[in-house]
Amino acid sequence: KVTVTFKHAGDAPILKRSTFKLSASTTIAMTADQLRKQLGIAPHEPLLLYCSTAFAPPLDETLGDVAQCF
Amino acid sequence: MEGQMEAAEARELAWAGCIPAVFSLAQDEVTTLEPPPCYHANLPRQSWLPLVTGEVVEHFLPFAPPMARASSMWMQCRGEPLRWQVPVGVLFDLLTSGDDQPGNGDMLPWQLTVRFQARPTDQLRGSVDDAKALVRSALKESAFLRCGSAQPVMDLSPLDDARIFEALCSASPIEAGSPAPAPSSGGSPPPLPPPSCLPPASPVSSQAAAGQAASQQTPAGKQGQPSASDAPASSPYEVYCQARTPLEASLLRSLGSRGERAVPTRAFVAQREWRQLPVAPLLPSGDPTTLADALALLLPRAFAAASDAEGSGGEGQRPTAIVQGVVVELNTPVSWLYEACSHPDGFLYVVCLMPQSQRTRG
Repeated sequence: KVTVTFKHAGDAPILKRSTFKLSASTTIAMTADQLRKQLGIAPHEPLLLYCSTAFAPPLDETLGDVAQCF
Repeated sequence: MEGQMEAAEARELAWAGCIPAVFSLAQDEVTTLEPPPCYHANLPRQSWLPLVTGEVVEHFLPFAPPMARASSMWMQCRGEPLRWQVPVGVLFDLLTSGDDQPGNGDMLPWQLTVRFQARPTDQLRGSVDDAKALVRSALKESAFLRCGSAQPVMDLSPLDDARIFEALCSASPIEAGSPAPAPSSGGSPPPLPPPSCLPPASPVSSQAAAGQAASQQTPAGKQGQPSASDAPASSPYEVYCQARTPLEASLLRSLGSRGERAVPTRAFVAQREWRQLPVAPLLPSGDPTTLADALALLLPRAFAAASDAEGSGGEGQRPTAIVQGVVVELNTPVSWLYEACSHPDGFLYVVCLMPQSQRTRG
């Protein structure tokens, strides 16, 4: 399990709960899909995820690998 | 110092690597009486498909269905969709290697099918801007892995950013005479300073690299300006080297007296099966990390199975590692490999071919 904390930026909606424990094999794309459901963002609307406010990890990278790298 | 010169030569050879490819429009998408002629191109290994296939789109679009758009183009190799997020050379090695050998002459030219319709839902659109964004993000990622900060990449000047992508969009990056931006003063372009992946136990080579990078920043010593915009360039590769000079110098400044934190490495088994973990340049014992050590970290199951097989008397069970289309000995220091064979996004890509027995087991 990987503990992930989301921080909103710009005009992104604010999550009611910002910290989640997710499986290490979850990909960034799956995480984005879950966030869309939580925030009510339509599939055609852009949602960008940045790691350490610096870069966007590849969508098929797993949370486990991202956590170990960064 | 000799090792660094060899790495520089290897790096230029890697940049010279191209894959002859022939593109054809999918037969079920041809809407004209005559099918379009195939399009032949040399694809640079170091680049990404959307950056070097603009002319392919222009060639086939007139023959495609009426609602087709350039942005909807996607490609297949033997029926398998190509993920444009993977560099061209890595894609070729992944899709055409077999029997533990890199792609051989039978696979050339690389046959690719172009489509404009029915893109799989899990395939992202790949425009030139999308590819540039991906490369920039990967550059920041690799810088973060090396020195703990993406700031060196964020400090890249717009001119250097443009130069990097001009080199990546060129079909012949090491050929002289290819268009390059600006510079006018005399002197030969400075060689690219090697990234300081050398272990801290080699202070001489690290200091030499730092000194080389510092001297290239102020060649005349009068104005104290970086040399990136002063020296002329005659090939996109040389332009790229000039653009990377301030980036590498900035990375060295971020590192200070510490060694690099990690060697940015990605190990691919298939287009969608890959790992990325921080690979330390040195083992806890102080020895340089070899490719075998790195792959044991990145692909533990494959290497554990290989070790078990070797322990029980099996032979030829170790996965084969291919970097820039060449089979690499597993005892090669990963720091040297990174210096010589990393891609422009700052990552070392290693394609791992599993032994036949492991592929059979799935």
